[in-house]
Formats: sequence, C-alpha cells, structure tokens
Amino acid sequence: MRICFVFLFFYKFCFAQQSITDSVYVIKRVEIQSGKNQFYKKASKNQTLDSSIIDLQNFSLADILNRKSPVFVKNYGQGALATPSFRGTSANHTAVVWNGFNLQSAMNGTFDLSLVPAFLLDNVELNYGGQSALYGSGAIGGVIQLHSQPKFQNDFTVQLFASYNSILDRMNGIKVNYSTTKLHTVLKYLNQDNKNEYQFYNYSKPNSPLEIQKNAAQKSNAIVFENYLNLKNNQIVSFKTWYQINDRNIPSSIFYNLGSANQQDENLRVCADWIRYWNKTKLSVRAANLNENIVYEDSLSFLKSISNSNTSIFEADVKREIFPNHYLELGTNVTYIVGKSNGYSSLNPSINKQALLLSYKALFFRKLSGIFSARQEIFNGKVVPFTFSGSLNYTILKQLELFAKASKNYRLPTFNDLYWQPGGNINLLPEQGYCEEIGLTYEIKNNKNKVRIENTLYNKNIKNWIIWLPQFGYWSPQNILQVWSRGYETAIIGNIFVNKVVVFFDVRYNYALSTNQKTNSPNDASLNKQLIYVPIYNAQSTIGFVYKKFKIDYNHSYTYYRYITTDNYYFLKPFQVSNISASYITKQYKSCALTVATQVNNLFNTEYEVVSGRPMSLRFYQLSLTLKFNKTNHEKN
Amino acid sequence: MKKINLRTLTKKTSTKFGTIFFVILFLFAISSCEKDKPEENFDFTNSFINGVFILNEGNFNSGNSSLSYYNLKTGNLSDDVFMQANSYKLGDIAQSISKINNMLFIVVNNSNKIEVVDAYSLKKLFTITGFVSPRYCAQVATDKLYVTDLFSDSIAIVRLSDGIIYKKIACKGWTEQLVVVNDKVFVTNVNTANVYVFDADTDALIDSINVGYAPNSICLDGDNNVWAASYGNSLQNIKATVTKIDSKKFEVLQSFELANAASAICANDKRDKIYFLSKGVFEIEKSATTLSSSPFIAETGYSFYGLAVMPNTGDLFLSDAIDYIQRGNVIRYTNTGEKVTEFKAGIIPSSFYFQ
Repeated sequence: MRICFVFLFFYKFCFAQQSITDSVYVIKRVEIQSGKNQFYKKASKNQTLDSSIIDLQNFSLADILNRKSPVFVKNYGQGALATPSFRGTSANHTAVVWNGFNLQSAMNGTFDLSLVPAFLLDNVELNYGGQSALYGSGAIGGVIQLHSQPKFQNDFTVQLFASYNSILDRMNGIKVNYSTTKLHTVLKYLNQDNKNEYQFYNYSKPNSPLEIQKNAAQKSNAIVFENYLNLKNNQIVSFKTWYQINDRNIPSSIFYNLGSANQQDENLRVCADWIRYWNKTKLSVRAANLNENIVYEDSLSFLKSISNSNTSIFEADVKREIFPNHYLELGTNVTYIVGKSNGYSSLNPSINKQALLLSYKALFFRKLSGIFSARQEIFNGKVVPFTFSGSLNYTILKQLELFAKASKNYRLPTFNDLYWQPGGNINLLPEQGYCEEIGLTYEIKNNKNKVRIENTLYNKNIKNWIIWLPQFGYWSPQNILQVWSRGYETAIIGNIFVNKVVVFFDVRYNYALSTNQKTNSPNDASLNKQLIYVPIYNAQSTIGFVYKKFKIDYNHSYTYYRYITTDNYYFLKPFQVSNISASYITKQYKSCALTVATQVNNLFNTEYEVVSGRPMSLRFYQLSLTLKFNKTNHEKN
Repeated sequence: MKKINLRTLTKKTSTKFGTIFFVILFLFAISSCEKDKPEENFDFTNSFINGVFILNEGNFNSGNSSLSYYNLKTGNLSDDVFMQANSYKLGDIAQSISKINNMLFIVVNNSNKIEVVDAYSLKKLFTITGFVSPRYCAQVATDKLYVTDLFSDSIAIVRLSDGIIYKKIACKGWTEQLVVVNDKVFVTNVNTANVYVFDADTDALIDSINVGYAPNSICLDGDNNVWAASYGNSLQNIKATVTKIDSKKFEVLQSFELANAASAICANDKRDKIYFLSKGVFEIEKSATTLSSSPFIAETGYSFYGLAVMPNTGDLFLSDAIDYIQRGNVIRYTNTGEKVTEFKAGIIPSSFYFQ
C-alpha cells in the first residue's frame, strides 16, 4: 500500500516507457530522478500552491502568498513592492529558488514578489524554516520554490488569456505547450498595462477624503521559454529562459504631497541542466546566469540611480543509493557575482563563492526516515560558518506523522551592506542562527475525500542580525541585533465530496513572537520587544466548492497589529480582508474550451494598510477569460 | 463514497490542544495590547510659558513626527501638542521650529510645508505650501522669510504677510541652517565646504566662506561672529571642523579640528559660550583660541543627536535617538555637566525651543 502511495506521489517523474509491474525498481529510480525539491521534500514543512497558481492566474505571487499562506507579505500598496517574511524574519531571510537557483538580489538580498505574475509559473512550493544547508546563504526563514518539470507525452495546447479589472488594469497572455516523448517545449508571453487607479482614504488629510491613486501605473512584458530533451541513455537536458521588463510608477507615501518616482526592473534569467541517471545513481550538472538591472528615478529629488548585478552559478551533484533506501548526495556550487551601481561609486564589487554539500537521506525500518545535510561555503576567500540540517519523520500511526528538525542557517552580507558609498562596512560578519522545529500531522483520506491537520512549533535564535544606523551624514550597517523568533502554526486542509459537489477548504492560524534580545545602550527600550512589521497573529482561510464546471471560493484573512517602532509604542491597526472568486468552464467545442472567471477583491471595502503611509486598495472587480485549445493524444491528468 | 465524520476528527488531541492554546494566547494578547496603546497625555492647564518644546522628527514616510512640550515646573511631558490643539497630525519629518512675531514656524520636511501656529495656544494660523523638501527658516527682513531646501537647489523666499512663496534663489546643493546678522544671511550648504552669504535686501549671493566639508549647523555669538560646525568626511580623511567667522569681513577667525563629526552648534542666552556635539558635548568661550581635546560632557551609553541651552540657568538639553526607530530620550544636564533628569520624548527628538 505504501509503495503504491509513494509511486503515485512521484507520478510526475515517471516516463511512459517504464513498466508498472516492477514497482519497487521504479520507486528507487523515481526517487533518484526527482528534482532537488522533491528529493528533499521531507526536510521541511511544505505547502504546495499549484492550484492557486491556476485559480489566481491574473494575480502576482505576492497576492497568492498573501491569501493562502502564513507568510507575512509586506505590501507597499496595490501592485507595489511586496517582500516575504517567514516566521518573523526579515525580507532578506527568504530564499526564492527558481529551478534550483536562488534569485535573491545580490545587491540587497530581497526579492519583489509583486514582479512575478502567476501566469508564468508552474509549480510553487513553500518550504518553512531554515534551509541554508541545501540552498546556502539567505534561506533563514524559509524558501519559495518556483520550478517546472518536463512531461514527455504527446501533447499540444495553446492558451489565450485576457484579464481586466475595475482599477483599469489589463493583462493579455499566451501559453503554448508542445510535447512528444522526446521533446517538451513551453512558451509563455504576458503583457500587462495597468493604470492601477485604485481607491483609498487619505488619512493624512483632515476628514480622510476618498482619493484615486494616479501615480501607480505599471507596464510590463515577460517571456518564459523552456525546453526539455529526453535523450537516450537516460539523459534529460533542459534549457530555460525568463525575461521580464517592468516599468512602474511608485507613488510616494500619503504624507508626501508631490509626485512620484519611477522604477524599471529588467531581469534576464537563463539556466540549463544536464541530468544522467543510472539504476542507482544520478548525476546532475547545472548552470545559470541571472542578470538584474534596476533604474530608479525620482524627478523631485533629482535622483537617478542605475544598478546592475550579474550572477553566474555552476552546480554539479551526484546522488547515489548506497544501500536500499539510503541515499548519499555530494554536491558543489561555484558562484560569481558582479555588481555595478552609482551607490558603489567607482567600485565594481564582486563576490566569489564556492560551496560543498553533503547530504544523506535514509529510511530506517519502515516508519522512520531522516535527512541530514551539511554545507561548507567559502565567501571571497573567507570560510563561512559551517551549516547543517537534520530532520526526522516518524510515522506513528498510518495517519499520524511526527516531524522534528534542527538546523543552522546563515545569510551573507550583500553588495549594499559591504560596498555602499558612503557607509558600506566590509567587516560585516554573516548573520547566523540555530532553528528547531517539531510538527505533528494527521491525515485521513479515502477514495475522494481528504482531511489533513498540521501543527508545527518552531524556535529560532539569530545573532549578528544586520541593521543600518546613522553615523552623521550617512548610514552604516552593523551586526547588532540578536533575535529570538518562536511560534506556532496550525492548518486544516481538505476536500470532501458531498453528493456531486466537492467542498474544499484551507484554514490556517499562526502565532509568531519575534523579539530583539540584545541592546547596546541602557535606555534602548527595544529589548524583548516584538520586531517591527511582524504581526503576532495572522490567519488565512479559503473555503469553496466545485460543482461540475462551476467553481466558487471565498477567501478571508486576518492580520494583527504591526508595530512600527522598535519600542512597540506606535503601531498599525489589525485588519481583515475578504475576496470572492467564481469561475465557469464552457463545453469543449472543436478542442477548445473557454473559462470565464470573476473576482471581487476586498469584498467588504476594508480600509487598511500593511506598511505605514501606503494604503491598500478598496474594493475592486476583476474579469478574466482563458481560451484553451487542446490536442492531446493521452488522457488528461 | 465514504463520508468523513468531521466531529470525530475535531476531537483529536492535537486540535484540542491547539484550540486551548489558541484561546489562552488570544486572551493574553488582548490584555497585553491594551497597555500598548499610546498614553494620551495632554495637560490642558499648559499655557506653554514655562517649559521647552521638543520637536520629534518621526520616521520617514510614517507621518509620526510630533511636537512635545515639557513643563519645567511640573516635570510633566505632553505628547503631540500640535495634534491636540488642531486635531490633525503634524506630518512627516518635522525638521525645525522657529519663533517669529509670536508665531511658531514648524518646518515639516517630508510633507513639503511649514505649519504656522500661535506660540501660546498652538492653534494653527496658516500653512505655507509649495516647497520641495524644506529644512530651516529664518526671518531676514520684516516681511521676508528664507527657507532652505534639501533637494530643490534653491532657497525659497516667503512673504510673511500672506504666507506665499514669491521667489527662489538658486543655490546648488543641500542648504541647511541659516543665521541673520547685519542684514546678511549666512547659510550652510552640507554638500559643500561652504557657508554662503546672501544680502537680505537684494537676495544676491555676496560671498562664500570655506568652513570645512559639510557644514550643518550655524549660530551667532555675542560679538556678532558666526560659528559653523561641519561633519567632515571620514571616508576621505577630511576632518570635522568648527569655524568662527567675522560677519563683517567674511573671514575665518578661528578654525578648530575635531576627531569626530561636529553638529548642533548653538550659543547660550548670554551668547558668551558656544556648545556643539562631537561624540560628546563641547563647550568653548566665544573668544577662546584653543579647544579642549575632550568633551565637556562625554557620551556614556548615549548617542547624542540634538542639543540646546536653556536660558537663565544655562542647563543643557540633549536628545538621544537610540536606534532611530523608537521613542528617543531627552536628558537634562546642569551647566557644569551633571545629569538632572531624563525622560522619553517622541521619535528622533532633534530640536528644542524654550518658552
């Protein structure tokens, strides 16, 4: 029974040529074949957002994480900068990994989730907790995995997409998917022209007048082109590109009365990999180049800032099943990053990193499995603190599973921290910390119904946390803070058949206490106080149903007080936001089907802001149409 | 299809524990959050005549700048007196406060305005708008106000009678503090090493005086000499300086070098002693030719940001912004350097005005 379950779980990685009868043989091979994120799936608590990507195609990754996960998304306005925070950590403590490569900015360590349209994504998975052993610097709070895999079957689909909303945003896209047993190619193109004229109450003026935002217009073009080749001798070669250019007007906070700034983000991400597998071994060689270009202009302060970073990564690893159900992986990573910015004046700083990874995954007896990883990195010739992670999964009963993990994680200082002129501090140490986590999952399922209850307790201590302080005339970063982050997450997820209707739900409740444990001066009142912009409680719920071709869901989230001063004296009020979506798929006519979807965002017209001075949008409506042409020779999954 | 009994599911220990835990935590949180609301502390008997106004800059783009009033008789601090008197928030980054004709001019830098209030009731009289990034202002003639600016490469001129900006003097760079003497206006420019001299009648630029890189504050002594304090530039090994200028000849009379950035220069009410910050408080007689190498008040556990001298007693009021993202401290010392009292003010307390 368990073998069959595991087989279904890794279904995506099976190829049509394999025989189903020899299931044990296939499992091991599938395990070896799986991508890094699948192989290490049990190394952390996870959440898959694949279905949300389809439902919320007209939104960005920021909106999806906001509505569906406990990750606190620090949103600077509708469609504006949005950074993730897992478990009370900061914006640069979340790694965003694209097909195995970390996309965190080499300049400031953050990643703007609002720049990732859901339309371009395939699989999104969240790994909670520190993962530095596997992914290196920056993965202290958690990891957002963005990846896609090949499907070598005869298939040809074309999807045309259009979306409009009441704040005058327009989105048009096309997806072409062509595959055979030897080749799989995907092309996606998305064009956005968003006037983004959302409504809000301007509370900085007397009587909080209702205003329409005129300074937040955005335009963007994005192309994703992915190719996979299924070669003989069990080799798969892939080549992927993601090019995107965004032009955004950035409104000032409501306290500043004049105009706005403009930012252009241009990103070209290219990666390639070659995988060869044998019966018990897998060899993978990967390379990527990530180019980031940002032009920021503020006409009123006569500021024009041009920044560029180029990252080249080379990775190779070998995985081998050394005993039955015992796997050993040895990996290496070489990274070279170059940065250029008026902020670094005449310096063209560069970073050279090399890392060695050793990992061991095993199934002990039948109920206990463990994953142990260790990583040693060298940063610009200096040895970085050794990191490791160890996790155990114990199946107490058929439905009840216990998870425990301990890890050491770190974040290296970025170009801005080291080289910004004036102020950059080349003597900065990496931030580092120990994390412990324990979780209990209960899942019952049968043919069509499933209910899963997850509970997790975590504890993290991070020292040498970098903060910028003024020095007279300029600011400079220092390793000052010591943060103790601990909390509790609970979720109940499931889908249940009631007559012909599928009822689905995903309800999450999270408690995160993240406090500053060290102060340098006796009158610093931030000791033992909650960090700014970390809400102690937050909750998200989605409930809906599917009936034949009709789907409706209701999403509701709650965010508690956020302190805006480190002594917790000033705060922003808690808020609740609701959204409702409905979609309908028409009958197939000549291989074409049309999906019509509508959404009402901020259903109850709540006045709220996530970040001080940047109110979010009041209620607005959305309509999207997807025309799908499908010429598949296989039965659809 | 097998129906799942949800009731039996919820009775599982893990969720039960979860619910109880949640309820306890929720109650705990509710009780603790009540204490976290800011205390409304407004003394209505204040006539604002026996204390000191403390201007708190607030955090950038948070709109939480404020004006506090510390009653010297009662030792009571009233928070946000501007808001209490006018029912709307002061704005974003309150940079400076000056008194002109029984009115207080509060320059609110990131809200691009100057709020003008009655000095004794604090009721708003009018608001001057149209600035880019205003910093400090000074009355240079009966009906003329100069306002310096961070980004606009100019100094705005406002007619005091109607509060309208009617002219701008071009001055490239970040103009900061200014002082008026003999119809001449001395303005510091933080992006340069100069103090610029303007004619208050013609608004023409007359001269520029080299006072060391990044002059940020300026004041007048009893002999009508102008004193300027400069940050210097530690990255380019340019020392911080405090310079004394002859206001008639526009010449440097004395120049003192300091190990650390110098700022917040001011005089006592008799104008015979000059004080400034340079990792500690320094005191110098107006006619001194040498400066002691160590501060008069050392920074022990503090990081001084603002400084002012109280009239009559000569007591010193200093502010410590700590990490710049929490309420700062105000510390009062006697004129001999002994600590008298210490209290919490708003976020980044920087300027003081005694009234």
